[in-house]
Amino acid sequence: MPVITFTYQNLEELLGTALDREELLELLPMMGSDVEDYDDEMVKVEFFPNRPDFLSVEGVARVLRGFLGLETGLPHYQADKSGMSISADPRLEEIRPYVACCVVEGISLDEEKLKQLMDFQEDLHWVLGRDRRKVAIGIHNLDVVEAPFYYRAGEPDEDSFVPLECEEELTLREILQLHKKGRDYAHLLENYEYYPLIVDAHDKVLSMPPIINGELTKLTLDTRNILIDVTGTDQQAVTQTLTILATSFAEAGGQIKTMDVNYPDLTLVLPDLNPQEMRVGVEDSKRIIGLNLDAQEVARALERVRMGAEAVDGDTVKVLVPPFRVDILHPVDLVENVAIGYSFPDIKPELPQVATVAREDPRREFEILIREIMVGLGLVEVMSLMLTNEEHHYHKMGLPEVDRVEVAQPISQDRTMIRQSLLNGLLEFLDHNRHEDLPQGLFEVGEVVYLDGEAETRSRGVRKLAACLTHSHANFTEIKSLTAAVLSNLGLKMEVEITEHPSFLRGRCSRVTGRRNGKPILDGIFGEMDPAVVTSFGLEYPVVALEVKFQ
Amino acid sequence: MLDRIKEEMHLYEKKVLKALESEGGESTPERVLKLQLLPIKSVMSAAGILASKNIIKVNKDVDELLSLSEDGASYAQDGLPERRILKALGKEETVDMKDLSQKSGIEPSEVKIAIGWLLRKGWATLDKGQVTISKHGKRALEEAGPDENLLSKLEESGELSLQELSPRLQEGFNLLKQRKGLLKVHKKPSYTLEVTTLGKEILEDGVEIREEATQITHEQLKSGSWRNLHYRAYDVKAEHPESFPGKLHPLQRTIEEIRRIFLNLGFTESRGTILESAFWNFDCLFQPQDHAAREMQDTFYIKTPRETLLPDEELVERVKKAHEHGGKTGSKGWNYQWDREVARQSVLRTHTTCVSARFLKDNQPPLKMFSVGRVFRRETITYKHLPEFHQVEGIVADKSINFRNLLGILKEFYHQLGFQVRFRPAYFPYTYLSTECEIYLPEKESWIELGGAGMFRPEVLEPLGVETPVAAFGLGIERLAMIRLGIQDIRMLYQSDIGWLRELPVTHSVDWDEI
Repeated sequence: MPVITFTYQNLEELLGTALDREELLELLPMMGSDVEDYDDEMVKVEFFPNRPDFLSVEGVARVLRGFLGLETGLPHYQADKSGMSISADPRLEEIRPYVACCVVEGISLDEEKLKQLMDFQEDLHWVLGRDRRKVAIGIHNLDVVEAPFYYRAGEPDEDSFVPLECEEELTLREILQLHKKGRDYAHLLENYEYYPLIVDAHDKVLSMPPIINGELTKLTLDTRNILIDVTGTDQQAVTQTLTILATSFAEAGGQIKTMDVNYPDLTLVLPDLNPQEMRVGVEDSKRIIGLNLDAQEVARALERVRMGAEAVDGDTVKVLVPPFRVDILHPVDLVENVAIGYSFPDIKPELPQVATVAREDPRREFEILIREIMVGLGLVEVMSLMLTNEEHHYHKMGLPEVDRVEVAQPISQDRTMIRQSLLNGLLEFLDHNRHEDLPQGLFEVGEVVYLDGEAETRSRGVRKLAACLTHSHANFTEIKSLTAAVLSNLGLKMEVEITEHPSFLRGRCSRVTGRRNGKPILDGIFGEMDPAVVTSFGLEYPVVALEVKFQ
Repeated sequence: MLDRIKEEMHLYEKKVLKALESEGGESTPERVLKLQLLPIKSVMSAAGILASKNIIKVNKDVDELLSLSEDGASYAQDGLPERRILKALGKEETVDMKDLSQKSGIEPSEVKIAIGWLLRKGWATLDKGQVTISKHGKRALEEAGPDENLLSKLEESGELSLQELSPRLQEGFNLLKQRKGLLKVHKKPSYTLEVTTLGKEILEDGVEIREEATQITHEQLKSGSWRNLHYRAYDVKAEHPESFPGKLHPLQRTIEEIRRIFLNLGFTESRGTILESAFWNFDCLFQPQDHAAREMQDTFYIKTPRETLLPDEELVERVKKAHEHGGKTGSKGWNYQWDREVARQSVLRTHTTCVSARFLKDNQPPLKMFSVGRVFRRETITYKHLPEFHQVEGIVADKSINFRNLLGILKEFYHQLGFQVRFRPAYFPYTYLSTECEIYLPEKESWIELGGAGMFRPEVLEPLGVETPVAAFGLGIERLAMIRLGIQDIRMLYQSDIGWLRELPVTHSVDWDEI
């Protein structure tokens, strides 16, 4: 999740007032963040991905002003026309159709602010832009280029410009092949005939979205007026991103100027700074949060989080949602903001009055009884991961590979599949504990997964019990005796039948079924583990084992 | 005091002490062994115990023992090479160097060294390749040298103490040790036992040797002989072997504790499947299909079975509409084209919230439900993270349910586990009034985040056909267990040391003030 860092000084300048640091550190989490770290100079805060407007210190200050009571309600932004325009090339419709631009005048930058701006852009690329695929941003020095601007299809081998961090002109294709950013993002333009370009009146290149800006319009400490471009594949996300950027610059003292964005069949005036009007019911807020609030109190809470709010009557509050609040999808989101504005720590927990009768999962209860018997028999319960690999699960156990749940992108070669048996986990456990005193007796009750073409999820979870014993005289009689104890204490009738299993010693392996009134409840196998299996796990003492599944 | 010490003395200890008394207060284990007819092991262990009680002192001396190596043994049997040449010379006076090997029967490789020793011992002279026996040599034909004496002595007795060699044998040792690999020397400790002042006091007080019983036996009890037996007193502070009980796994114990709390609060238990469709894991929970959490780096997608079936078409259609433009939910939706193929992908469930969604589809409010189960995230295995862990998930659905009730349940839950809890605003795609719960760790003076909660969004509930508010929560269990158990490494729970499991107390949930 995105993390932003700022100094107290930075924040105080934006707020225009001194801050009580203790109060700040208490307030930040209650606005919806996680303070990751802080010292005497700075704070590092993690915000949630639904709030891209919090990804700049200006955006944080904007809401903090509301919480501190310095300024509440809807923030107003004045935006005159810049008289400039950008036109979109229809040839980009199938490639990267949407563009949004505006101008901000009268900004001032220093090293620190430049760095913050870069981070802000990168965070937006990630949170709203899905790593530039959906949205990509360029910020330019306006004073070196001339309107009108053109968002046009560039020729990969004919168009060329000097990209950032480069000294010579490269063709668009060369940029994708040679430039670091080009290589990182080339996949976004793969297989396209043209590559997007933003150029000025004299065809000077500002940017090649979503790859790289031109060196020409690079921001410096002297830059005063900027042009922001946002391009992408989702019209709404593109305009929202522009709004968030523009209003953030405005919070720092810049003057937003609108631009006309011309498509063949329509013209947009951007950025969109119009609040959205919504309504929230006072009764709904009370009912869902559980607070006894009147219309005025609901409105005040919303104003604290910087929404416009006005009680229409006793039952309804009219809300103006600022255009940078991209997280408001539904009136319930306003209810949430009432609670945040009211302050989470002041909402007192209260147990519900709903009377319901608890019912335990009967299978889980059965497993608890099995555990009780295993512990009574002196075995230690272990838990192992369900993710395992073919080597441990099949090869070392002497088993052939069968159909199984396989992970598409394993975290490591050790964890490629979901287990179908608990036995190899127990043997691995014995291997880990070779240095510990013998005898050792272990058991695990856990889930395994089989493929099942009939099931909705094409798989079936099965619960199993496995146990093993190891010491110098561990033998068939001992594990048979243990198996019999488990079954008889569960009230089951035991049936045994000699069988063969690749993990067990031939002639010392039995199938076991536990029945209740003829109905099979447990079914599995017990016996002496084959020496080849025992030694493949590095063990040096005989191992006897039991594994049954619950029907 | 002395009585107590005497009571606790084993019969063998008394026997050893008495033997030392008869030897004038000091002797060797070998002597004690002969006097009391005890096995040497028993003498040594009794002596050790007596020493630990400061009744005797055990003095250790190291003896160097001499024996023959394999080469040495064959020399002892066949004679030294120079002796064998001397014998040949005894017959022929003078022999050409070339013929020595054949005439004496020694290996050609040994001839040079043998001549060296022959000359050094003055048994022969060498002139232009001719070896001639000397007067001294003729005398030596009759008499063995000190080195040969030592060889035969060693052959006869096996071992000799280096310190106790006679001067002649000492001289033999000095000669033989110049030859490589004939002799072996090893160090052997020897002991003397000496009665201490305390031991003397005990002896003066009188030590009575009588037959003692150690174990109470079936025969003694049956025959009544126990009435006449004296059972030795034990040292209750002596070492004891360890017993290891069978045990539940500590994480399982925590899970049971959690289950009990929710059962007590009136929650019904449910469970789901490990392998889920993206539909139930994500789509049904209003997570847009391009959401970061759905990406490959966070979620385990499945190679086989790659795809699942979708549930009934009506539900699928409603979920699709909720995503695209909000459908009948009153929401704006995510404003994109929902793809049913993406929803069919198989995943290892990333949370147990899908269990809640399935439960809501099949059950009508009012209801309270919880489930405990494994969830999976693509994390590499470190002390902090595992690719699978447990969550407890719960929902409460009723027309009267509100956010304060949700906080009330969570507060009660953590309170029962002994923690103080606070809530801060958070974000999850499937809830509003979303909150993260943090518990306070007094020893660290900090808050640690343990779970998420909120009210299910209309975009989740409307497609499932639920008309009341639903409070929902999902809490991690491993971290809670780790705090309880005082461990820093999460791997200890799954790749455990059996020694740790054997020794770990089972009382982490006990409130000692109530006992």
